[in-house]
Formats: sequence, C-alpha cells, structure tokens
Amino acid sequence: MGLIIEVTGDTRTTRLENFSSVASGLLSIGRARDNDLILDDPYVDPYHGQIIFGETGTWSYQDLGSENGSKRGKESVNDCALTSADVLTLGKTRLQFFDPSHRVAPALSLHNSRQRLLSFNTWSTSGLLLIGAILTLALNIYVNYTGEKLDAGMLMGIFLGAFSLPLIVSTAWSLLAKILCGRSHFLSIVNVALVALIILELYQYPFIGVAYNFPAIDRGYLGVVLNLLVFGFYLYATLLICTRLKDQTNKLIAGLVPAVVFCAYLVIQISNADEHNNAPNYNGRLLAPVVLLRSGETPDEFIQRLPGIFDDADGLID
Amino acid sequence: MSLTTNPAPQCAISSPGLFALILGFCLSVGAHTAVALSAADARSTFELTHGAIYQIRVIDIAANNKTSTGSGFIIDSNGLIATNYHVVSNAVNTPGKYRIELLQNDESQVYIATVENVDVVNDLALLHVPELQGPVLPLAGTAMAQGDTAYAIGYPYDLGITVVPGTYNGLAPHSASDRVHFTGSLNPGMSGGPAFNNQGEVIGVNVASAGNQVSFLIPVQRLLSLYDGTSMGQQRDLKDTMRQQLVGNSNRMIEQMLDGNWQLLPLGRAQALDEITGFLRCWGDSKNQQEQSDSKPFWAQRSCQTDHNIFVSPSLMTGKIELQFYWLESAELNSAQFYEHYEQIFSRFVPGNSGREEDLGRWACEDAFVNPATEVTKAVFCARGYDAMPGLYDVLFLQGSVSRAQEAHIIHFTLAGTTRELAQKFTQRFVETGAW
Repeated sequence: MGLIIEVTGDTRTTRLENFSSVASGLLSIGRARDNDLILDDPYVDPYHGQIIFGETGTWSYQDLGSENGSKRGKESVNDCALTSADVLTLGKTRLQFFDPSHRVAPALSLHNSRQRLLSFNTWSTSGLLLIGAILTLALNIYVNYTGEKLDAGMLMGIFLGAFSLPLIVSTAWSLLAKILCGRSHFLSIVNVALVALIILELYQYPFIGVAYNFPAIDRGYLGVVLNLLVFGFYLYATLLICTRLKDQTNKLIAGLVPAVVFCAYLVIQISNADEHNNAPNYNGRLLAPVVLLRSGETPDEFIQRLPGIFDDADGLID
Repeated sequence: MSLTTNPAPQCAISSPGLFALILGFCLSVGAHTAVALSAADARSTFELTHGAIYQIRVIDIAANNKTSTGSGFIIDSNGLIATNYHVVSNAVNTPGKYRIELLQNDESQVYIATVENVDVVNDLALLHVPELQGPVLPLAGTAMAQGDTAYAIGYPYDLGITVVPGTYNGLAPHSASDRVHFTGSLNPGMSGGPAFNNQGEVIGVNVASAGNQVSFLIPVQRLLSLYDGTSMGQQRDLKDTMRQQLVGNSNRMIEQMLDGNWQLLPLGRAQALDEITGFLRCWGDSKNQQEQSDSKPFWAQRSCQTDHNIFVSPSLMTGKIELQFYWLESAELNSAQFYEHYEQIFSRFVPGNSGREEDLGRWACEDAFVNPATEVTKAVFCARGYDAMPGLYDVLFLQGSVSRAQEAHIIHFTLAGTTRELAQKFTQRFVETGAW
C-alpha cells in the first residue's frame, strides 16, 4: 500500500509527497540528492533513514545511524512500526505519514459563523485592520487636538495606551481558547477586536452629529446603547471562536452581559442624579457650524420656556 | 474681605481676576502709626462707652462651649443689643442647637439673649436681653467727613475688650450694599461691635476686613432702619423675614441694573456690556501670545461682578451677580478642533455662589438653539431653588455663538438669590441687548 507524506520544514512550510503507487521495497530519506525523499535540512544526515514497506501493507521506519537521530512523537526511535497519521521528526523536519485512504475532515463551511470567523486569521488581514485602527485613532486625535504642544512621546503613549487593552483582552481569550479548544486562534481574536475598535471609533462621528442637531438623543442613553451593541457583537464573535458552547448559549451570553452592564450604568446614573453638585449639569455639546443642519428658535420662544425650567427646579428641592 | 467673627466662618467675598485682594482673617494685631491720635480721645471714648459693649458667644448646647464669638452693644433701654447677623447666624438657622450668651470683660455676669430681628442683607441682628441694665449708646445723627478719626471697639480673638482707632473714608463707592470704608484694623471677634465718632456716637457696626487696615462698617442708618422696623415682643418668622429681605435686595439690584447703562463695547469682533451700574465692577484679561507659544485659541474676556456675597449661613452665600463675556478665535486650528476647545470652555461654567445639599435644590437645565438677529447660538438656562426659602432661585444663563467657523463669543450671567420674575425680566433684557 502506498504512502503520502506531509513534510513540514523548519520554517513551517508544508508540502505533500505522494508515494501512493509504491507498494513494496524501501523509501530512502536524507539530504543527499539520490534519496527518494530529499529533506533540505542541515540537521538531517545525507542518508538519514528509510521506510520499509511490509508484505501485508504495513510500514516501518529504520534510522541509519544518523547524527541527530529520529523521533516518533516525543520518543527517540531507531526502528519502529508506523501507522497512518504518525509523526516522525528528523533533524528539524517533521514528517507525517498518511494512508492514501486516510479520511480528512470535511471542508469548513463559510455558512457556519464559527468556521467563517476561524478563516479570519491571516496576517494580511491583521495588518490591514491594524492600519485601519491606527488611522481611525489618528483621526480621533486630529479632531480632538485643541492646540496643545505635541511631542512624539505623548503620541506614542496615546497609541500604546489605545492598543494595549485590546491586546491584553485578546491574549486572555486566546489562553481560554487554548484550554477549551486546544488552539489559541490568536490572530482571529485580535482581528475581531480590531474590527470592534474601528467600529467604535467611527460610528461616533455621525452619531455625535445627529445628537448635536437633536439633543433629545443625548438624554435617551442612545450612545451607551450603541456602544454596548458593538460590545455584544464582539462578545458573540469571540465566544464563537474561543469556546465550544452551543450557539444558543453564545447568543444568550452576548445579549445578557451588555444588558447587565446597561442596567448597572442606569443605576449609577440615577443614583448620581440625586447627588448635590454646585456645578449645573447642562448639555454643553458644540460642533463645527457645518454639522449644524437645523435652525433655532427665536429669543422670545426661548424666554417662554423659562417658567417650565423653574417648575422643574421646584421639583428638585428635597 | 473677611467677616470679623471669631473664629470667622467664611470669606465674605472674593474679588475678581488677577486683581483679587488677598483675603485673610489673621491680620496681625501690631502697633500702627497711620493715625495720629490723642490718647485722651481714645481713652475717653472707651471710658464712656465700654459699659454698653458686650462679647457675644454662640454656645453649642450639647458641647456646652462657645463655637464662635463676636461683639455687640446696647442701643435701647429695653435691652436691645445690636450685632452682626453672621455672628449669631448659627443660632438663627438651628435655634435648638445653640444659645447666645453675652458677657463683659470681668465675666462676672452672663446673660442669655434671644434674636429679636435680623437684616440678612446688611448683616445686622438685634438681640434681646430683658434684664440687661447698662448705658445705651447714642446713634449718630450727623454725617462724618472723610479723614475724621473714628474708633472701633470689640473683643478681637477672645482677647478682651479692645479699642482700635482709624479713619472714616465715606461709603465704599461700588459696594453691593452700603459699607463704610474704615481705615483701621478690625480683627476676628470684633464683628458686631460699634464704631464711634469723637463725640462718642455710634457711626457704624464693625463687619469685615480686607487686610492691611482696609476694614468695613455697616452705616448706622441701616441699624436705625432695622431698629425702627422692629416692634418689641412681636412673634417673627425669622426665616421668612430673611427670605423677604433677600427678595427685596434682589429686586433692588436687578431694577438698578435694568435702569443702568447697557452700552456695548467691542470685545474681539463681538460686543460686550461694560459696567451697567455702580455695584458691578468689570475686569478684563486676555491670552498673552508673546509668552504662550502653543496653538491654543486666543481668548479675551470681560467679567463683571458684585463685590460680596450675602452671608446666610457658614455654608450658604447668596446675592452674587456675575456677568461674563468671553471671546475666542483661532487661525491655526480648523473648525472641528476649534469647536472641541470651545466646547470644553462652554461646558464648564459654574455659579459664583455655593451651598450645601441642605440649603439648595439641584439644578434644572434646558438648552436650545436660539437665533438672535443673524447669529445662531446655543443657549443654556439653569435654575435651582432654595430648600428653606421658597420662591428664591439661583440662575445661570449661558449663550454661545455656533455659526462662525473659527471664532466664538460666549455671554454668561449668574444671578444668585433672585425670583422667577426678576430672572425672567433680566434674561429678556440681556438676550435683547444682543451682544453679538
């Protein structure tokens, strides 16, 4: 019976070598050019070892007295039988042996949210997202700059401060994923965090613009609700990647946690509202004239609202 | 300026801006040579009058000891004593907790006094001790001339009765309520004591000090009006009396402002009011661009206010009126950045008076875009009520332009201790003046 070998080099590049037509005899492995399987690894001997095809379709491996020896799994071996999916390490190269009839896992589905999120793990995606996050943060700093003297150290501090939290949180999730699923999925988790960060940074511009024109929005806690919505989606995506909980459970957690946070926020707001403060808490939001799309009332209309404010003040005497 | 109770509870006012007088109570009681005084005058004044002057101790009943001291003097043969309201304010505001004791240097006899009437605006109180026997001090009927020598007597720092010579300098010209400017060292504990001309007649009541021999007396006419308005043995609700006095005072000041000179003077490329009336003093300031090389916007401001708060209790001051105009412009920041800075300034206005939760309600605020003339502005109006004085409010008004890309003008006023009608009237006038 033939053999397919997955060769993973020191640099983690992987190639497949197909020997499925070979049914008997020997398969030599080494660095020399006349081997059947040539390994370009300086830690591998020119003639390192050989695979012997047995009569009954079995395989065995024999080390040819190499400098660095051979390992099956974690034990050193000189002569051993092999079965499908066994892993041998020669020098720094890893060989995994498969029967041609070895069943591989079915394709990950792009319709399954977890499997789709797992594909979100390339360095180029991370790079682009990181650039995006840096740009949105830079935009934020630019818009909020009010003429202070700038220095590089301060800017560096702002950027490091902004990115350290998502990095720490992602690392914690990775650790959890490593424990629960066996793989850390670090890149996927970081990427999801970066997406959440970019959304949080960007949505506030249109939101503040609308709230400036319609101040009732500020009183309705809408900004907090939106922030928590983004947080809920982030939590859901991270749970999908890091745990093997049922989808229902994930949705429940992702909904409940922001809801609890919102309730806690409301409780704090309401209890603070009763606190005496010498400084009035008024809406002082001001934005550039281009953002103001509505026109105001006449001074007389404003004066007519004053009795209502005094009535409110009477209600706030305790 | 500090009130001269011992230990005096609060600074009565703070002067505005960089020109603020450095205020303090603990003026040294050193010898001074500013006044040429013949010993016979001071001695004879003292000998004639000291029998009528008492130390007033406000005793915490539970602790059975004094919490503050001041001075007072007999003005009536029925046993009426004049002093400052702030000396006995604790006993007026929480009657069950304190009692008022009167005694003299020898401490041989202690009298218990009750509060008969108060004038919170002029910081005067009349105490009553029915069994009190002593000489009655005559109140002066004739005016003094600037430069005349006057003598203040009281019990500074619990040191025993003390006579302080000084010079009469007439009424302080820009005060929110009438005050005689007396050049002599008033010290904590002398509050409520009398000041005399050289005929031994009372010309005023010691009230406050601003340090370096700048001291203030309440003119004797104020004491006379309070005395005339006090009929003995009548049951009075002192809190309501105080409320009415504060309303009356706010009415007087706001009407005087409405009748004043509402002339606009340039501030940046906008207009701002100047001193509308005598008691509103304005100070100006702007960013020094030679020294500050950052790119923050240029600012210039004019701020006008009354010279002192009215003392209601150690934790509650009221009666302050403030007007403020703030101009901002920037060539270096773009519109978004400029408005970020502008928002920070616009969001941080606070009233010039303060009080505890027990004294004041919480603020109610409303904001709106308002279009005066061609400008678009954001206007904020906030009001808070007084716990024990219904109908009295503190009001904070704020209006800032929002239609110019890189410049802005903020106008602001605070009226402390006013009424709905007065606040509304003043706001209307202020908005109509259109300082844009």
